[in-house]
Amino acid sequence: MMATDDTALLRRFLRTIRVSTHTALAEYELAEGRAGAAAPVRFQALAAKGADRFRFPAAGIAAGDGLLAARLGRTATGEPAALRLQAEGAAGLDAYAGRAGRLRFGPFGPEADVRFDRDGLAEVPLAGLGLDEDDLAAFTIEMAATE
Amino acid sequence: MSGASKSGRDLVAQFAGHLANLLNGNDHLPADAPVVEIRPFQLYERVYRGLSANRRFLEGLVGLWSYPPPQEPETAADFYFDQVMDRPIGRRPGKPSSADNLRAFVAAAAAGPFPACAAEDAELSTWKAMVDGPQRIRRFRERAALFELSNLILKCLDAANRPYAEVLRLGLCPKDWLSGSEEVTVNTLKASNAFLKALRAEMRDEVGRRPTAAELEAAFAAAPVPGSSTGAEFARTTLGGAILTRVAGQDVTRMVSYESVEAVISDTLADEDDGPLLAADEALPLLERAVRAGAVAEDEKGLLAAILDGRPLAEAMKTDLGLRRRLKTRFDNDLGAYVADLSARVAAFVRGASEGRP
Repeated sequence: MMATDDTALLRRFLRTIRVSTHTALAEYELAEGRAGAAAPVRFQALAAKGADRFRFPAAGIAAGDGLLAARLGRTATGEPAALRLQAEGAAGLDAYAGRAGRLRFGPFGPEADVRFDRDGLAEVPLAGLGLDEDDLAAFTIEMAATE
Repeated sequence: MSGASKSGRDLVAQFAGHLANLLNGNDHLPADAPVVEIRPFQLYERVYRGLSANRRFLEGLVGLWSYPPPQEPETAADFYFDQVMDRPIGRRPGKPSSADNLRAFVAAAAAGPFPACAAEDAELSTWKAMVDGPQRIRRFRERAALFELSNLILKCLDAANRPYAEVLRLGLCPKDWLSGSEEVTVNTLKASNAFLKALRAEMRDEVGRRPTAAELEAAFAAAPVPGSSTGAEFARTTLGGAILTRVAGQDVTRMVSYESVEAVISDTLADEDDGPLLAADEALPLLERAVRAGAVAEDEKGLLAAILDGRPLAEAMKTDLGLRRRLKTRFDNDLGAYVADLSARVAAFVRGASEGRP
């Protein structure tokens, strides 16, 4: 069967989309693998998924490295307002106090800069980031290299 | 018929993209490095790791589920490499094979002189086309060049992966049918798959029982397999017997894997085409048509245009809140599933448009 010009063009289009999307996806996954090797610290709420909407625990969430705790500050109406990150213990202060990093919510952001003061405390306003509360069930922090 | 599978993924295309990125050093070199060293053993380790450790490749391409216990990913990945990656690809008279085209493309990127290969006449495999040329190449930093490399690898895999995939599609283990005394030709495998499809239709997709004689003969009349004259005769062959035993089995896991693999293959084979890839500006009007046809949303058109234009996928996703929401709510942040769905919807649109549907 002879393909019409339009059919031939459509088939080239399909192949172009097929090749380009999957090559881009493979590149993304390889890059993620490299980023994973650099191991940003991960916060993950237990039982984040369930029948009810996720609500950030009042007791906070501990980071995977055990050196940071995240608590959620709320507005008067109960909406998420800011994340307060506090380094825990002498090891936590040693690792985080006075340093800067970047918070990342979900695989494609949004992202926010974070800077810890000398007491190992950092506050990250959430306004304007377009986040729902369940976006806060899992996030990562990647520290900038020390000078 | 929608033609686009929801469960199956176009893993052959993704594996081709994976290989192109590995060959280009995108897994270990900074973006601005101009040259990549091609070290076959190191590259082999990376390919092998992808096949044996990446669950998607291991299940969908290698088909670990089809191997008898104890199922060893390393053994299955080894066999896949030998049978697919290192399978010689034949030439049509007077025409280069897809592997010849791949080798020429890689050779054209050589960074400095390199010795010609000793056996120019030997049929090349995908693997040899990738590694038997120059030891150092200029990296394919232009996005269109990387896509073309991926496209050439995919053309090789479309041919070399076929016999292996046809065995999986029958629900059988490739190791039993692609080597040794029971080796079966690809034409017999294809005919057997057509027979199996007809048989399943006759049996109204009931699994866990043997077909009746009438069902067997009706299926064989609809889709005969060369070498046998009746369904009963085919059922007495080793391959026919294995297929019927497989149909009579009640292993639901395997049937699910089989369905998924079949979907991948039918998507894979439907758009074989020798034309070059479209440039971004050529593809844009067709993306507009896909939007008008309702196959992709306006913001997804933006994502595809960004990919074609050379922007990294992560960057394109980061800048669009709507896309991120859709990824999260519909695909549970599984980017692979989203991309597969998007690609499948474009495939469905192309099929519809080719058949004259609006």
